[in-house]
Amino acid sequence: MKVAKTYTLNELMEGCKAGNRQMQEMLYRQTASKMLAVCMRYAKDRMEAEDVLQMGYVKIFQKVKEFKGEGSFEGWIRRIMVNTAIESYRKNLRTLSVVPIEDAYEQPSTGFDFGTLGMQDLMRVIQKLADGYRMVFNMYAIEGYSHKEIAETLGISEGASKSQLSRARAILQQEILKLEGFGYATHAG
Amino acid sequence: MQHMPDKDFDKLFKDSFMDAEIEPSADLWGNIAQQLEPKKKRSFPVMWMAAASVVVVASVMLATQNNDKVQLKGTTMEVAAVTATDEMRSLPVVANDETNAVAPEVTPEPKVITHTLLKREAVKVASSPVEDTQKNNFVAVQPSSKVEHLPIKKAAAMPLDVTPIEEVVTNNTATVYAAVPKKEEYIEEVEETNSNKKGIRNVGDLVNYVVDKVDKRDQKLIKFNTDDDDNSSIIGLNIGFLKLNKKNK
Repeated sequence: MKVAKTYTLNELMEGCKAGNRQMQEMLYRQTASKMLAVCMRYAKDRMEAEDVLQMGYVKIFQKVKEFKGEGSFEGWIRRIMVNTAIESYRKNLRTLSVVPIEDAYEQPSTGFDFGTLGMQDLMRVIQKLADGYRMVFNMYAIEGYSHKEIAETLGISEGASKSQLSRARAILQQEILKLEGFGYATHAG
Repeated sequence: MQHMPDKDFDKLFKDSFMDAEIEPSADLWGNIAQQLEPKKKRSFPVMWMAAASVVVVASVMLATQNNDKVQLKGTTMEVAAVTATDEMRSLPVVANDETNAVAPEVTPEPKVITHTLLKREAVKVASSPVEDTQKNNFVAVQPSSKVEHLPIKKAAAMPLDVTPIEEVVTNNTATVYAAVPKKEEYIEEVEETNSNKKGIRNVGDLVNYVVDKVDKRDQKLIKFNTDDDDNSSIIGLNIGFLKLNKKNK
């Protein structure tokens, strides 16, 4: 950090492959905030997210030698982070709290003015989802997993993955409407 | 308020999170760096494992050697008994000079064996006082039926031939030597384990220390010795050393 020179991700990757602690730290400094945003989506709260982030980076530095340069290095880091988050979820599988606290009715989606909603708001809404829903929605909507992949990864059926996704969407919409101040009364108990 | 397909809904989230950044806690890197450290700290457990395995292997080797020695002791005693009986048989025949000439020829053969056996342990036990060992030997030997022949042998042999008696005595001391080292070795094993438990901060020194003790006794362990010499200075070689130990086990 004392050196004024900034390194590209690829240079940092080479340094990390060599086990250079300084390069590892610089890679962390450059990418950690993005990766924490990824972890936050999968976690219930910031503490859990930072735990995952820490595990993820340790894994990254241990496995960086296996990175063959297929795809971008950042994509690789991100993938490890997501996998770590999923792994952590599977380890902690908290009493299968798939059933949401408040039941959501599927409604025709309405347009949202996302402009008024910051990323932080969406993050909060996602974090409020039940664990199973949050996993499926993250993996499908944002990471782009197929239902088959989700089913295999989480050990659920494809049907469950699909139904959880649509339920997750419905809950999210509800919550967003609340945030937007529509005062949209739902049947939520 | 347009209708929004699921795809678009998902995409809004995806886009929103695309470049999202959340600054992690300041101390998080410290935690990660700390978690990356243990690689170096793990070397110590490896060293400990190496030291422990050396002790285990050494004790195993010693145990097997002790068994051999017990057998040796038994064989020597048997040999002594045989010689005694031979002499006893020869004694009545002694009247003939020819048989006398034959008797010494017969005895040397077992003696040679016992001497060679003795040489191994005599070197180790050199410090032990001979008289005490003799006493101990008799004490230890008495319970066995074969041993009782020895004093008889002495009494019978004394008047007849002087030289064979001396040789027989040396045989006895030889058996004594064989018996004593066993005890000392057990003691030294205990010392090794104690030293391991007590003052171990320089594990490399410990390993060398243990191995040095081992080397004195077993030539087989010389293989370890060469490895250990390397080990004392370098950590990486301990792993190879460990592998060697595992193979031996």
